[in-house]
Order: sequence, then C-alpha cells, then structure tokens
Amino acid sequence: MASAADFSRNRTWLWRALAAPGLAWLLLFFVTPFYALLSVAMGRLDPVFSSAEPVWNPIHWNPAIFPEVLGELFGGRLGAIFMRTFVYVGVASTLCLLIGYPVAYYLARHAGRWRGLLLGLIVAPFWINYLMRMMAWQNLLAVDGYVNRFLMFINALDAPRAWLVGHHETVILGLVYGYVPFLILPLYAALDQIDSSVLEAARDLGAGPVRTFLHVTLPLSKQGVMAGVVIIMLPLFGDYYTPSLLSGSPRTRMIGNEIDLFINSGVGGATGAALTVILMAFITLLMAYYLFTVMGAARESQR
Amino acid sequence: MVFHPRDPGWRRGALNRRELLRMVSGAGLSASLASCGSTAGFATDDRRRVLIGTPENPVQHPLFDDNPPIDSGLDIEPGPLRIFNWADYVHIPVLNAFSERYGVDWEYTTFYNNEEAIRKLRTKAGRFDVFFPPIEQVPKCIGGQLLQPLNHTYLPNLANVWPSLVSPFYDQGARYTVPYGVYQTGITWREDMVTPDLEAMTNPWHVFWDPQYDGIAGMYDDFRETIGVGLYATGTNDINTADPELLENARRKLLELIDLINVRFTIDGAYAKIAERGFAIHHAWSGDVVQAQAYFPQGEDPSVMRYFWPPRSEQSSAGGMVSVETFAIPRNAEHPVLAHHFINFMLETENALSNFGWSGNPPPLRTLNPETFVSEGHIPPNLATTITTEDDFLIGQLPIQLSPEIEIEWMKVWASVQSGG
Repeated sequence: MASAADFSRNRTWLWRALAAPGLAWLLLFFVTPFYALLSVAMGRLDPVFSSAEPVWNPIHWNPAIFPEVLGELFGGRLGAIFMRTFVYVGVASTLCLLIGYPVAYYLARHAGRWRGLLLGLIVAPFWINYLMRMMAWQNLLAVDGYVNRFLMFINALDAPRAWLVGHHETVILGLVYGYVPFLILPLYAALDQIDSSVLEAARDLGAGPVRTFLHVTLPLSKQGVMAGVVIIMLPLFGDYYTPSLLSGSPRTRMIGNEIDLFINSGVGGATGAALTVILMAFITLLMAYYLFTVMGAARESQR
Repeated sequence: MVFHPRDPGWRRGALNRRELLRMVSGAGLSASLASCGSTAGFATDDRRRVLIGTPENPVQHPLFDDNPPIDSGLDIEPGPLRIFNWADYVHIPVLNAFSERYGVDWEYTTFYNNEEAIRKLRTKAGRFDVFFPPIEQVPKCIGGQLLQPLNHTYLPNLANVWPSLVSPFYDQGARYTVPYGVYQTGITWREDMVTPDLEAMTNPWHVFWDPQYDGIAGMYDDFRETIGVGLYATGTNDINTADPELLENARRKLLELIDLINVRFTIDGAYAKIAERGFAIHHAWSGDVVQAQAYFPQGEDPSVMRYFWPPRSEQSSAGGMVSVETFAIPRNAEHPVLAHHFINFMLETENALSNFGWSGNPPPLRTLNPETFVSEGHIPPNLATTITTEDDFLIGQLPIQLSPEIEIEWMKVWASVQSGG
C-alpha cells in the first residue's frame, strides 16, 4: 500500500516528467542552435572553400572575432547601421505603444459587447502572410498608389512622392504596422485583469479620471507594457525583410540585413554568427530587465 | 602563403595582342610553373590544395588517384541528365533537342547564389551531372574535389573553342572545365529616359556619380562586381586587389553614391526593373541587357536599351570586367557519360548559337563569327555592343578567386557599403 510520502514522491516525479517536453524543446531549439552559433563564430575558415566552419570543441574556440566585430559596431564600418537599428527599434516601439495603449485600454474598459469582434479584427490581418501584407503596402505606397492619390487629394502633397526608395519613415511605418498587434494583445490582457473595484476606490477617494489613470491604471498595467514591448522588440531587432521590401536602399538597412549578408556569404559566416551573438546579448539584457521588474511586481502583489 | 594576384602587365597597350592572347591561354608558361607547383595558391591542412591561376601564372590542376576521369568508350546512362544551374541559363528548346537525340529526360535544379550552390555540392545533397562554375570559383571547386576530371575523348567539339580558351590560365589543358559563355560587365541605360555620353568621359564609370540620376540608378548586389566599380572609379584596374588602401578608397567612393543618387543594389535591376522603368541606368552584365528585352511590358519598345563597356572607350583607360562561365561535371555525378555528351552537344555550333540567342552570353567558339550575330538577328542592332569577343580579353580584367583572408576583407567593405556607413 502506498503511503502518503510515496504518493508525494511519485507526484514530484510526475511534475518533473511533465516539465520534460519543455526542457527537451529548450535543449533542441535553443541550446543546440546557440551552441552551433558559438561554434561557427569562434570556429575556423576553411582554406579551400573560404567558408566559415564550426569548431565543436570549446577548447579550440578562438574568441578573437568578438573584439573585432565589436570594434566594427562601435565606431567602425558597421557603426552607422547598428545605431540606425536601435533608432528604428526605439521609434517603432514607442509608436506601437502610443497606438497600442489606447486601443488596448478601449478594448478592456469600454468595448463592451463589441470586444470579441474588435479583438478578432485586430488579429484578422495575421491570417494573411506577412510578405503579402508588405507587398500590399508596396502597391499602396507606389508613386501612382492610393497613398499618394489621397495625400494629393487633401492637398498634403503637391506631387506624388516616391515612398519606396530609401525613406526612414516608410520602413518605420512598415515595422509599426507589422508588429503593433503583438503589443496590443498582452497589454489588453494586463488591462483586463485590473480589478475594477480598485478603480472605484480611487474615484471614491476623490481622484479624477486623469489621476486615476496615472496613479492606478498605468502602474498596474506596467507588466503588460513591459511584456508587449519586449515581445515586439525581439523580432524588431532581427527584422530584415521589412527594409528590403519597403526600401531596398542602403540608407534604411538594419543589422538583420547585415547578418543575412554575412551568413549567406560563406566566408563571412563567423562574422554573421558573432553579430548574432552580440545582438542576443543586448536582447538578453533587455529580457533580464523585464524579468526583474515582473518578478518585483509579482512579489509586491503577493504582499 | 597569402595569394596576391596583382597583374600589372595586364593592361591595355602593355603587351601586344599575340602575347596577351597567349597569356590568357597560358601557353608556354604552363609547363614549368605548374609542374613545380610554385604558382599562386595555398596549401591546406590536408592534401587538398587550391591552385589559383593568373594570366601570368597559369595552373594545371593535379589529378588525384581517387578521383579519376571516366573510361573512354562507355555507353551513355539511361538518364535523366541532372543540370544544376542558375534559373534561366540554358534555353529549354536546346535541352529538348539534346533529350531527343539521346533519348533521355532532363531535370533542371536551380540555385540562388554560388555559395548556396557550393554548399549543396559539398554536402552531397543532390547528385548533379552538370554544373556551371564561374572562373573565380573554379579553383575552390577543383581544390575541394567537387569536380571530376574530364575525358576529352568524349569532347571532340572542344576543338571549336577559341584557341585562347581551349587551355585557359585558370585550368590548363581544360582538365576540369570547358568554357560555356563569355560576358562583360558594363553599363546599360534606357535612351528614352537618360542620354549619358560615355564615349566622351575620361572615366565612363564616373557616370554614376551624377546627381541627375538620383533615384533611377542601380548597381549589382554582388560584392565582386560592385566593389570592382568602386576600384575602377578610383582609378585602378586591379579588381583582384589585396591592398587595403585600394579597398578603402573604393568603399568611400561607393558610399558617396548613397547620398548623391540614393543608389540601390539589386540583382534584377539590369533586366527586369529597368524594363519596367524602375531604373534608367544600371551596372550590367552584357547577357542581362540582352535578356531585358523579354521583360519589356507589351507594347513598349525595347530598342531604347543601350549598353557600353568602358574598356572600349577611346577617351579613357578605365577597365571593365570580362569573364568566362564554364561547364563542369561534379565528382559524384550519377550520369557522367551523359554529362560529357551534353557538354559536347553544347559545343556544337548550331546548339551553342540557339542557346546564345536566349542567354545573351556568346559561346566562345571559333566556328561562330560575332560580326554576323546582328545581321543574322541573334542580337538587335542597338545591343551590338553587348557582344563579347576574343579581343575583349585583351582590354578587360578577369576576376580571379581571392584567398579566404582577402575575401573576408572584401565582404566587410561590401557590408559597409550596403549599410551606408
């Protein structure tokens, strides 16, 4: 007969077993590729094929590539594109937040019975492939496209503008359009969870709508904002098809384009891998900050 | 040993025609240099060795015991013939004619760039019978033993090839490759949109550094070709340079184009986009310009296309690239006898001509007269300048494989140019 202790031991075993698929997933799709990336970055150059080859044994790794690539990124030949990527991601994330927050707030507070429909409409564009949506923008933004026609109709433009040849605003527009729904959804979930009795208490204590928002809603939705911003920033940093499709000019390339170029060049594979690792390090810092604040907020709410 | 392929004598007027053509063929120099193995190249950690020939130092690639050519007199395999090539590089009616003559099917697998192609051959992901390496990739393909030596008894039509390319400097004795087509890299434009006078310029490559082409000029998304323009524009014809100063000058020069004309780097600009008015002037492979005609929208006149190759200028000493595409048979080909027959078939004058009308790159056959290409309707009169002749190899520069250390420097320059900083 199983005692209570046995049962509890069995149950611990069960919980561990349930974590196994997740662990296997992480090993297979994160740890292994990351290890491969390091092996290529610190690997060797095949002298015959001029291609970057991985070195699997860490004892033989040569980390010289990292200072070299960091030198190119900070003040070197890749400095401009690195800065540009940060500016694009910063501006696009801010715009996403400015657009996404009111939408999420409206959905959570005031949409009422339309809520399901509106959420569905926000998600709907994602039934269409990203590439197809960017190609639609290519048509809309063409010299004889609807955007120019509309802007000329309302007299905002005198002559059609060539939007698709190297304009920062076009690429940022594409980035915002592409990623804003990913910010709205977690933000909506966070705002929806705010207990309405807290808001009522604020009102009862004499706070007006603006003060209630600034001192109650905004702090309580901080987790959602952080989650949404992190979720969109990760793919924004690695994006390379939006600038390719909406501009194709050296003026608007992002670091993702450079990684793509190096990795596919054969000879530049190690540089591409090192760039990826450095970018990951920056993103990890962002993630660490996010986890830190989320854990802090969770502790606070448990008090 | 770091390879440093400088070729100071390889310039217009430095040597006479006969001497130069002999250099392309490498006749006379080959025996001594190749046999002692002192030619430019670098040894590797194992017995693999990359030999890079230059016009002054031609190479004969070695044969390996474990990679012999096929025996003579074998029957052809039942097929299918598996071709591994760029998209649209062999005319389908020509393939069908081959198919009919030998009673075999054909399969055509494409690749997007050379790196991808070589990766696929290395991983043995597919077994292909015919591959088409450009000359600057030939040394690594042979050194890495991706190709098998050719058995010339199956290739009687090799005799049709220009004498200067029967035994070229990059592969003396045509041991592993046979020339397929020749081409140049020049400048193309639409006469209905812009009217540059390249003949009158002291350096025709400077045409791109002109604000009147803001937003309508493009260059290739190809590091060898476009850094090459940067080098030509800064006054050197050394397009295989290992000199960091020359590369830095080229980088700075190319970067000027971003603010000056908002240049874009494309791979389809010189044929598809220029036909749709996406560009008015573009850096161009001669074959692309011929193919552009097919991309003009219905009802529009493709005779507005023009092409100019700077080395032909009377006013200027600026260079221009000229090169050779080759046929080769991968080492692990499943149908090597069929592959030999295919190469021989493509060297037949008639088939080569039919393929040329489509690809735009002339086959280097002495049985063809380039002067009749226009009169016989293979090339329209406005594009007569796209025809690459044997003499063009005297005035142009050939791309040569870079050593890995130099190639990575070129890549970094290219990444910087492409990212505008």
